[in-house]
Amino acid sequence: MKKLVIFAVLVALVGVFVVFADSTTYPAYPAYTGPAATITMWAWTSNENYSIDAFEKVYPNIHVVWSNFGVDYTKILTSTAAGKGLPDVIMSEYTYAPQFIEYGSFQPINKWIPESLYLKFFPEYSLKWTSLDGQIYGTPQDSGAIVMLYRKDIFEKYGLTVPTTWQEFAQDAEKLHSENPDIAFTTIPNNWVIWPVGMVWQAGGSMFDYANGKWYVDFTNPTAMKVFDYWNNLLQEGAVKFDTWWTADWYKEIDQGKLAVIISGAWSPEWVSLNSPSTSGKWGVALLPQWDPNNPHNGEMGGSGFYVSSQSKYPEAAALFVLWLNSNPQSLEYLNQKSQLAALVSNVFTTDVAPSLENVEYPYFGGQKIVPVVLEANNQVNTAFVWLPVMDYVQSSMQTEFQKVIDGKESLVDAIPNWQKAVVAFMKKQGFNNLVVGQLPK
Amino acid sequence: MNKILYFVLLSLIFTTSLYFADSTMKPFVTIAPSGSYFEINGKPLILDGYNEQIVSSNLIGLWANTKFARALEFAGILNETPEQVDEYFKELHDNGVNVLRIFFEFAQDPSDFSLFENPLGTVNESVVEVWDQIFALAKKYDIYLLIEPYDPYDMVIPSTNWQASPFNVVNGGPLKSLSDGFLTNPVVIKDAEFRFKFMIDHWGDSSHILAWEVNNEIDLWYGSNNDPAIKSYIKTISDFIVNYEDKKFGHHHLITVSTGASTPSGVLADVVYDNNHLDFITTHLYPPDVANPTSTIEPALTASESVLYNLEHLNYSKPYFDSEWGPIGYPDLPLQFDSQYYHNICWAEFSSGAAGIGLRWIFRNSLPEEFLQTDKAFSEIVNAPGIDWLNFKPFPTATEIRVPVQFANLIIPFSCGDESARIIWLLKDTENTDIKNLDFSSINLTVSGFKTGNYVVQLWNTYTGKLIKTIELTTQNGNLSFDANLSNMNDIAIKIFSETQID
Repeated sequence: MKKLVIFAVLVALVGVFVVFADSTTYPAYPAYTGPAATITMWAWTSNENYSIDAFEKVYPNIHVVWSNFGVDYTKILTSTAAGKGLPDVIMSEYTYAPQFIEYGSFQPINKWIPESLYLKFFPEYSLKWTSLDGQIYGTPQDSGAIVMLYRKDIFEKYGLTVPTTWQEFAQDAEKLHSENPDIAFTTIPNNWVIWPVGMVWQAGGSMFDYANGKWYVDFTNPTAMKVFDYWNNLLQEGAVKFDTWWTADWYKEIDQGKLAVIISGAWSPEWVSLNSPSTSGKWGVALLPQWDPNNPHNGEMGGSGFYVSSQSKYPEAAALFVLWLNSNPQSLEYLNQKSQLAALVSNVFTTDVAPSLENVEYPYFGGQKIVPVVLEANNQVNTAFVWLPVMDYVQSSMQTEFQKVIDGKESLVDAIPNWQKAVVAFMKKQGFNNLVVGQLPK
Repeated sequence: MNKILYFVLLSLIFTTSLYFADSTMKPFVTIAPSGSYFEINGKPLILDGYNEQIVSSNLIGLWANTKFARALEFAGILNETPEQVDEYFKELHDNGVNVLRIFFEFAQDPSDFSLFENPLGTVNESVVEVWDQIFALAKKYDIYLLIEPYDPYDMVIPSTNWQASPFNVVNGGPLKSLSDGFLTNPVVIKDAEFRFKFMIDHWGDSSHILAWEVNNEIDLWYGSNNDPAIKSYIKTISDFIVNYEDKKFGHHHLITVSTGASTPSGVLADVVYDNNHLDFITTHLYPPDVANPTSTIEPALTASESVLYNLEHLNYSKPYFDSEWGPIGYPDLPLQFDSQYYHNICWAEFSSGAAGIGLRWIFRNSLPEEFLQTDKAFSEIVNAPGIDWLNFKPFPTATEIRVPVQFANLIIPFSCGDESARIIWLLKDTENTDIKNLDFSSINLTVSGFKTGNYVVQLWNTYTGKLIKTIELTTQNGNLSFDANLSNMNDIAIKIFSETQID
């Protein structure tokens, strides 16, 4: 009998933790206590299979079936409405996660892994991107820290200097416009809500927030309007313009050197190298200009987490997978090298993986070591940020208003209160009674 | 004696039931006596309409009362109300639109909320609710529906849609791919029959069905290089529909198919043109100059050639129209250009003998007013008294129009008709720079090939739908000569009919 007890205790001890492969800095991963499971995953990151294979060696009772479903958020919502069809694990940009949490597409995973363990692997601010109301729904994968891609050849030709403040940025834009109006210094996407919200975030502000069980909506607060007023002026001068991003015409502009600067997330260096091979060697990566260089801020444009769906039949297995995927050093190395994610947000990436990447020279960027730039951009994102739980609508209503700006029916500054009005009306219609309009939490 | 009484009684019951069945039988669209146009309730139905989708921005409001409403609102898709869809149908009706072609389901992406069934055999009630509303609106606004059971164009996208398709073996379906015997697979055949039975049971008694299209672009997605399979599928499904509807209603709706090839040739031509299971033919028009238009003239010529080819291969025995066309390679064309391109193709097709304008796949975010103006004008012109469309025969007659030599390369005639009536459309080649050097205010036209008699010639403005001028003429050696003023017009429509013609 005693032998049996000792055996059982030993089994339990071995079973509680899976040995952490390469490091003693971080705790071990919990063991899987459930039945053998096959879990499914929707994710658009390329080459997830490397991380999955490594995970399955550590957790042989869990098999992961990955399908690249594109960025099809409607499918998440409609499958939730149908009560069937969701996989166990879902990739989502942080921007849209609160929407899916609100809609009931994700489930909390604190039950399976204690919050304290997540906090060992992830910075608290980034874990908040995958959490709401004290519940953790997934783990953050990559950073969408904003960076500035710029055409070095255009900058050289027109004597522009890489701006470090927004004032310098405006001067560059005006100079280029006066010397060659055929080249846009930069463009504002009329079809990507993450951009304007990210610009306000980068200024140290926000257009909305969540605190004490209430949603706060204030698109016209002073920081936000400072940002929109700035872009409004550049638009009116013709120094920058609206554009529809991700279209064939836009890619053509990039290829043909009609665009000097792209402001986007930390993933964009890889993205531009894949989509515009003909401009290899012409681009540089820089930190975004600052409003106050002594108090640098950054925001995010994109960046995604992995969440456990509300329809998962194996939530424990799914929770273990999303933890491991985005924090295990082997997995992070694969995500960096096979999936081309430049900046991952796990503490493990910072301590165990990134140091070996800092001296890598990127031929596409003329041999520039871009990882330190991207990591610095990521370090400047030191604030938690909560997205509204209706971001699809925030985007569609933005498109409506921005189209009016493009059509000359209103200015960008005039569009912002109208945009807020539409969003507030929509949220009220959707039954958000916990809405505070016209202010942000102190 | 008893037996005789019993027999008489039975006969009485039988004939009475037949009488009542006939008297309550709703009219269905039929082929006009000429064999070239459609007819409903004894009146001609000249087609004027579009392709639509059950999830388009115009119809999305119909989802407001389904269980997917909130999901679609959250997705930023459902920004319309059912009342706005009602207004859209009213707008179509007010502008003369009388036909919409709609896929029964929509497989645009893996969001299977718009699939009719998933898995096969499990019906999505929300799609049914949407169709209930579409049929109610079709009746209210007198719009005829051309419905096909599948959406292969969207199903076939391999990385996403096909992965999620209920026909895919990985999801328990019968096929490894759409080209894996879709048209012959017994499970698919049963499913097609199930779908048509479902539609017939739910809405089959509607007068507002133009036709059942047994499949979309049958030669492309699953019938490629397999003409026997296409033929077999058409026969099987057509027989099923005819038998089921005849039994249920005492008559049946028209049956057609569409081909991706605008001008079917080879064995496919034999399958579609010489097929007594099809009441009429439709093809899709996406040749390069239509798909990627750089001119508004060339696509009109291509469209006309396509109509002439199809009617010739049908030997003018059945109606033909183009049920899908548009700038598929360049959506959202500049509006002014697109409007002219739309206008020209509509008129080119109809005046070449099609049973209506071609049904545009909109390829724009919304339906522009400029398109609707063309529709309205078209409707007013063709529905004005004059030509007896039920008996009109649209033989090619463009070569029977003579324009003065100085205009020969600048005015392009399109025309169809017979020895007693014509529809003519004259298009100015506005892209030819020589046009600036000529005076178009008085162009003497001679149209030949008429029976001796007195005729009415009407000149119509195709943008306003207004009658510009009426001329009464008597034939001279089978010819009619008259002047047309095109000085301030891109084109003009001309209707010619015998004074004794009954509309």
